[in-house]
Amino acid sequence: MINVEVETGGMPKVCCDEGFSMRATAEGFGAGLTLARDKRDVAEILYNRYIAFMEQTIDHLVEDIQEDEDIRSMFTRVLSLALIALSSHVGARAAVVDLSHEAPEIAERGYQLTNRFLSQMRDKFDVFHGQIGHPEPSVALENALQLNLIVLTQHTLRPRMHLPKDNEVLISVLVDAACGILKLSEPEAKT
Amino acid sequence: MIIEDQFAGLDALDLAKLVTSRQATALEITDAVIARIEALNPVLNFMTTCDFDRARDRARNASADTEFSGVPFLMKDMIDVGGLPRTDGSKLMLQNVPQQNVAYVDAIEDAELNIPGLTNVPEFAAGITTDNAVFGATKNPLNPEYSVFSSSGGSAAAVASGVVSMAHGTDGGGSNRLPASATGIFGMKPSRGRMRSGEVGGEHDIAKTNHVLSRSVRESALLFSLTEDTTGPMQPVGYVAGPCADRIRIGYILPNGHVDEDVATALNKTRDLLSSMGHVLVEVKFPVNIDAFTSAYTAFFSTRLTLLRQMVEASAGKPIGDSGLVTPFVASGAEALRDLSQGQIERAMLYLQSLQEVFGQLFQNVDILLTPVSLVVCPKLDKGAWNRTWNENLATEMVTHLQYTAPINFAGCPTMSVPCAIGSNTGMPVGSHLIAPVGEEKRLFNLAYELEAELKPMANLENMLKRRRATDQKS
Repeated sequence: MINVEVETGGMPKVCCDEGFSMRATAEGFGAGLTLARDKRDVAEILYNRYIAFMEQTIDHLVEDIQEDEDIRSMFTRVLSLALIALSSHVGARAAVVDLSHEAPEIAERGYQLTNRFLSQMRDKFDVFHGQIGHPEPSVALENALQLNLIVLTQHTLRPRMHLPKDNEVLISVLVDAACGILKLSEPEAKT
Repeated sequence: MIIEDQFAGLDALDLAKLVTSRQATALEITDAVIARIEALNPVLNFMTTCDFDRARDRARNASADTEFSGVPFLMKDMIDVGGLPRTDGSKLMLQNVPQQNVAYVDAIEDAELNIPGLTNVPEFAAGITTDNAVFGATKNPLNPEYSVFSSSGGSAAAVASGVVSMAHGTDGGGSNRLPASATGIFGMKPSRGRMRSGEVGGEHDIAKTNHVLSRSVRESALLFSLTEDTTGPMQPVGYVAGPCADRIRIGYILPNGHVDEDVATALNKTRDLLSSMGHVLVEVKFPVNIDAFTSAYTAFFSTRLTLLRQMVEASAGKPIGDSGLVTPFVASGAEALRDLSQGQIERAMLYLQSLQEVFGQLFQNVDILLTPVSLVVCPKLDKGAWNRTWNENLATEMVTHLQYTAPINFAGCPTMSVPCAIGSNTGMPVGSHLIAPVGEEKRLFNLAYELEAELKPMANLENMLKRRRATDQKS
């Protein structure tokens, strides 16, 4: 199968903002999966694509952080997009879980995604430093991010019945939890 | 044959967002779609009626803050759209101009979709390719040597070529799924009675259901939520916005008889993919005997042709074959099937009605059924198929193409063709046929989103269109 990379330039920003585009951005089934010999081959292709997709997503999330961004809005945006990214690839993630039973290095590569995210966020730490009331702001920020990512990772694969079903409500709960860890003052609207 | 204007490649939701956010107007988008139709219809022949002036008027007055904000949407020429000629692809119907929308079309317009025209069909949906004596044959945008299957073929060509991202289809035996498979797009048939009625009297056909062929799953799912009948006996589905984490039990069949290698390969790959994604795949037997179904389906078809024959003969005052009002294919079919006895027809209808129970039993053991859409990738373009004489072999061949799709219509189940592979022999797309129990459209949409995320079918489609253009330029 011939694989032709398709250009993505000129896409209206509104589409990028939604994390979705109808424009072709990557190879599809014909270019990869038809060459797979068996179920494990298919799972490995899904896994490799998923890792590449998540690495790109993380890079974009961090790049989009603004110099004067409010930490609450950053958490809301980052967690909302993480929820979309994780939810939209439940099939690939199920494949990763299966593969990782046989190959621990696959699970390790998954953990490296979190490390990649935390490492990039450290570089942006100065943006938020002044907004955090915790005595160890950098530790608090990493804890808040990592705890929320663990919740989202688990919840999107095995939905927890006592967490909100509505995505906006779920994100709001997680952001409140993060703000508690960071010891932020409550937003004005709530006081 | 590549769409390259500023709105190219955007689905109906993205286009609506452009209007809502005032980055574009509905009129600009409508003008772009009209330009696409004017450029591509002479090549592919997917339209029967164009209504550009009214579409522009409606675009000027479209509300920007609605679900679809005046985005253009084509209807199949087989449903009553007030003020537009409904021909069903037949000379007999050329003067038929319904004055009122049926309820389903009202729902389409309430969703603020704008209808610039109607798409091509085989005469009365009879036949395996989208071809008729009035408007001619619709070509497949991915390879003009191929047809677009039948019968929502005009809509499939318009969507696959990128003229619109979503278009209407009626499915009474596979008419949304077969063309969708042949053109690399999504095609869905909801449960019987699920959608707002597409019939003048407000009733629901035993086999036929209205919905769409589309490039993205989400536009199909959103329009589904806006056109489903929320007052009917089934619990409304609402908008299914993404996949579901639940892993399910999927039955797959091993097809009998001659199967195109590309179809067999696509089915195996889809099975492996679903299994890799954590679903439990189990082999099951397709619960329909093809000989029994062919006989019953032919008898069912004869009841429709008998009504048509009686109408034509009453108005023309001569036998249907001499009337010149319908094609030789339809006329000879109506003649050949006129002698079926009432007993044969009653037995056939009982058999077809029993399929709901047959599939209900199958779904006691599995959540979803996976089959090929058809045993063939897609029939070659067959200009003049309408000029053939109906015979038993031809009928059997036609039903063979429909053997996995048409029984599902009588079972009343929701079902969908999802673009899953590109055939290495033909270079054409091949869909996978996913069937859910009656009322379980949500399960189908969930799975379609999951497959869409991994298979990136629109990337495949755009690549195939680019390769087609390169081939055309060389020749």
